[in-house]
Amino acid sequence: MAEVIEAANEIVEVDRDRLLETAILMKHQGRRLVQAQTTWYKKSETYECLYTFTDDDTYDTTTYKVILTKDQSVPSITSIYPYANFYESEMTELYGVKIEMIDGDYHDKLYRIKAVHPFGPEEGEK
Amino acid sequence: MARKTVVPFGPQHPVLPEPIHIDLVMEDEKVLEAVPNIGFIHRGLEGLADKRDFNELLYVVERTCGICSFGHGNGYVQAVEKIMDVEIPDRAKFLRTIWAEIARMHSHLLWLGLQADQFGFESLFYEIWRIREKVLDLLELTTGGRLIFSVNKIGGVIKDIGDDKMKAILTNMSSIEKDMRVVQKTFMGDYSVQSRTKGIGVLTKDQIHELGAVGPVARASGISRDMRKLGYDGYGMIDFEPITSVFGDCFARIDVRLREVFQSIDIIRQAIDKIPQGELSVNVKGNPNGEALVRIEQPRGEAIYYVHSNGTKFIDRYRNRTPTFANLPALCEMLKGANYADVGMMVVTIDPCISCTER
Repeated sequence: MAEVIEAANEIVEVDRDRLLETAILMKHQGRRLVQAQTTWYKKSETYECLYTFTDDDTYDTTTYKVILTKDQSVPSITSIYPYANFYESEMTELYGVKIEMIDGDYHDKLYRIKAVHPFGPEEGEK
Repeated sequence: MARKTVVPFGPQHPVLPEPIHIDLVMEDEKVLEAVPNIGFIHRGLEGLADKRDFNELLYVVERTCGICSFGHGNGYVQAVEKIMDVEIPDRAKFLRTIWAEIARMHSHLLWLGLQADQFGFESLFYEIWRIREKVLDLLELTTGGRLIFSVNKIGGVIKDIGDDKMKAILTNMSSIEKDMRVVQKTFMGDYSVQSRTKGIGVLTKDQIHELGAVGPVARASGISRDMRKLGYDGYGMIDFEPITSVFGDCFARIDVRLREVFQSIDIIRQAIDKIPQGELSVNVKGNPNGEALVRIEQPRGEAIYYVHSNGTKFIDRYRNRTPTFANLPALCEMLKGANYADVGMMVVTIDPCISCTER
């Protein structure tokens, strides 16, 4: 008989000061970083950064949302999840999020595009 | 100690159908480090999310890629349906499953052909792509399109597969299965294939976990993870188990994808056997208001679809994390210590889809 995994899938807000602590907790629980992403919302003039972690045995997924203003920065989680540098480079290069201490930073060179932060507050800045 | 040199790989390269650039830091013939660059064909499709009606956006989403088109549409509509709390009819669920598996066969056969081409086995490449034509013919027969078939809608599907077409699918599945047995025997038993792929590009189970790799790349290293087990579409009513290998090398990745073609044939047969009669879709009224994150198993692995909406017909945000993007860290790690002659093999072995990555 077909077996379906009933998995939790929730999105919760977390303060930026607690992001590192949350990532460490996820790492200790053996969770995998599924993705990190950001969006600039013009209306509220805020960034929403999402970090999704999953338990590969139970498929339970939690997405942590960090809300930032244009000038606020967020700590890098690359010291905990080294491969997060791909996601964080995308967040920085395409959206202009300020991320502190990226380990393995591509320094705006992961994406070979001419526009600076094409999806950021100053859309398509040359 | 030899002098270090940087050898550019791509964006134009015989093994790459799409552009990605990797700077290979070399010492003699050995790769010390691989530094990737993407963005050569970035189209900013996600940026269209707030400029298109959420129903029209589906057609943009489906055009992210010609191979994973159905999966992208499926993931997007699932996310919107989750926000709007829409339960689609069972017949629509099974139809989506059938098309998703035919699309998976298409993707894997395309990749297997490219893989054979990569190590110079041209006759095998031709044979696999000849089989792939049968799969494309089935897509054309059931949807009218060979690559982008736009059969999803929010609330169900827009096309049915009649009994005569179901029979045609079953007949073709038997034919494809027979042909694929020969291909499998060649891939698994041929000396030249083994000499080029066995023990090359090995990633252990722990490395895969630490690098966040997904799909056949992860399953080839022994990680039994498949988003279809979450039971979306009709998968909750179908018996199957993720296909894995323990070796974690290029050969294991070929093996897993080959066996997944047979698994798709089995899933399609089960779906045709179990599909109930009924409606194709439900009426969906209003606009989505809220956010949802959905995970589905694309041919290349786990894909993420995130939709953030605001109650108007224009959604705020559509985001797609594609399997290839998740597999790039694994590729860079795999390339460390590799011989230069194996680089093309390793790049192809993750089945890179740059169209998806550059959405």
